[in-house]
Amino acid sequence: MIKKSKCLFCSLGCGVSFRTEGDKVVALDYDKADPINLGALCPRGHYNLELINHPGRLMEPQIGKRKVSWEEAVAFIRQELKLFNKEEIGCLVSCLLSNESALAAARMAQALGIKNILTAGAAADLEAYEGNKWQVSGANLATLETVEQSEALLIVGDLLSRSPVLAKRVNKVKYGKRGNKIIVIDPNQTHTTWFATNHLACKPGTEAVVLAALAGELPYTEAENISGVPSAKLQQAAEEFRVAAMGTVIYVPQSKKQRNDLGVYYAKKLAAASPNKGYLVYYLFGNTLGVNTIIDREAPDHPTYHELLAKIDRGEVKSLLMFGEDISAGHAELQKRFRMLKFVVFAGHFESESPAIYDNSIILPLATQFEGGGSYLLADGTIASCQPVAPKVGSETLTNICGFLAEGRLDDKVITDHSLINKTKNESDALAEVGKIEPAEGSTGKPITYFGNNHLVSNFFWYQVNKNG
Amino acid sequence: MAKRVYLNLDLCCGCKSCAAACAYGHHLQSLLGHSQLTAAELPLHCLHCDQPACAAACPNEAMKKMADATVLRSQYRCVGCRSCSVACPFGVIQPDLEKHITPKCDLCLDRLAEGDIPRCVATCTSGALSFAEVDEQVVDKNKNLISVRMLSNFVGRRR
Repeated sequence: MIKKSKCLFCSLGCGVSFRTEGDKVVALDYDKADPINLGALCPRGHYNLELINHPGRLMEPQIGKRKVSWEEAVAFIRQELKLFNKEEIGCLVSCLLSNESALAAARMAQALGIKNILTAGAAADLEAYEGNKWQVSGANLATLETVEQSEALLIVGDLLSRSPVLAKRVNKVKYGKRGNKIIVIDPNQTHTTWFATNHLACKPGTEAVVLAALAGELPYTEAENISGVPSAKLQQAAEEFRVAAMGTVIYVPQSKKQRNDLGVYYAKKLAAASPNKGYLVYYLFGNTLGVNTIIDREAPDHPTYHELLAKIDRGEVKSLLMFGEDISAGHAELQKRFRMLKFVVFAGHFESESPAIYDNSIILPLATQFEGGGSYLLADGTIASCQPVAPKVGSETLTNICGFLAEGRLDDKVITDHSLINKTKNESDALAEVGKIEPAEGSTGKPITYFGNNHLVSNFFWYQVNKNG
Repeated sequence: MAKRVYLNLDLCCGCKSCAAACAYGHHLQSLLGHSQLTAAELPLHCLHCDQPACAAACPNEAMKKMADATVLRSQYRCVGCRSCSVACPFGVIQPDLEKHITPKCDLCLDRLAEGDIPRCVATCTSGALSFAEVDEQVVDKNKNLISVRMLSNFVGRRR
């Protein structure tokens, strides 16, 4: 039997289908009818099979290294959380969770009075999300159909390492019609620049400056001074993009870029500057857009990640709830602060890689989207919903875990509003900031199995084969 | 002419998902080699030659030309001597030194039996791989077109 679900490993939202025998998922299948990926899967998409069947998956809750029942674990957490003030508890929600999970976490925080709830994910993604909130009138989100029909694509960063499944669409633009343009802004020779008709090789980190110049917000000469791209080349690229009958700006947030927020802002400006243009932002973690929007809406005055770290330093936060993944495994700055925490709850799929977590913590097995289902918000603003394909073995969904922790005080609210949160931005401020960007030291590209700070993937076979290549 | 996997180098984006799909379909042992060049990452598919040099070189008859024109390796007969990888004129048989075996493409026999296409072709993100009968005339006619510059137009033919 073939069961269909969705891949959460980037914000493209490919369909994955599995061959099942009874309850057991035995193999991947390639579903040619899926409108997003047409059966194609990238190497990371193949991890989904292992995510269900991996022998390292957590099956039972643990207190320290002792395996306990769910009842005991939940009673222990409730009893421990009562020892702390509400201000002393922090809650980190992973960007790989579904909309329902994020909403449950936010409602649990409201029920328990926790104010320090925030999202954790790739730093570049979160920065780009902040930029995405700035309102630009006339900038429209593009869809995959408009990418396919575009006559000019402007790609900022290494798109085809992030989401190789888009290669079919990029090829359609490249070989579809004579005169189609693919403009790539990237300091390195990458998988994406193979397809470029016009490669703007700027100095590392100055992509936002080039975008500002193309959008007509910064003089070409000034942009040349900062980014090192000749102004004649900038002018040519701007003209090519402007005259195209249909075009898309695709922005890929990456940590080696400086000021991803300004990059996204100017990508939106560029899309708004000429008719029939759209923009897309492809995040590294699947539901960055959805989780951030929900947490922003439910807890509008939540602290930032660095404010949380400062609070831990000052001893104001003594307990931490980590939902979705062990965030400390990828973030050394958080791992260092672990001995200042008195109590940690970690709900995840795999055993944690950081040794510190076993001293004072509770580990709860979390169901993936293939066991619990859920919906999430894609890069192009549409909502994808996953159906459960396998039974939950020992694990629980975050909705249930939050229900246990809040002692059943959650209301069953359903998310209806998926609109993005907007904030206005004083344009002269942004202009002043983009002029201050300085080129970084030379940076190298990342391998195709790269997954940011998320250590979840180190559990998978193909990651270990290809981590150096 | 039997169906074969063809690579269009102009479309390939070097994502290696064909090799990943091969590994997940064959007990975590990828049968598909990749060129080790950083400038060009392309899959090296077995061409299933008409007169396979690997089968001629094999001392234990582990490589065999089957009735349906595919060249298959019997994992029980293979002793891991690496003669086939030396004999192969295209360098597509790459020995696995850790596991002492020489993995070799089997065209995903299980999927072919169901009337499906091989895993590497099904998962190809860029549309570079195709599973088709490409006859020589078509290849020759389109030889000068950039987008149909097939790797296969100079290899694997009957003499």
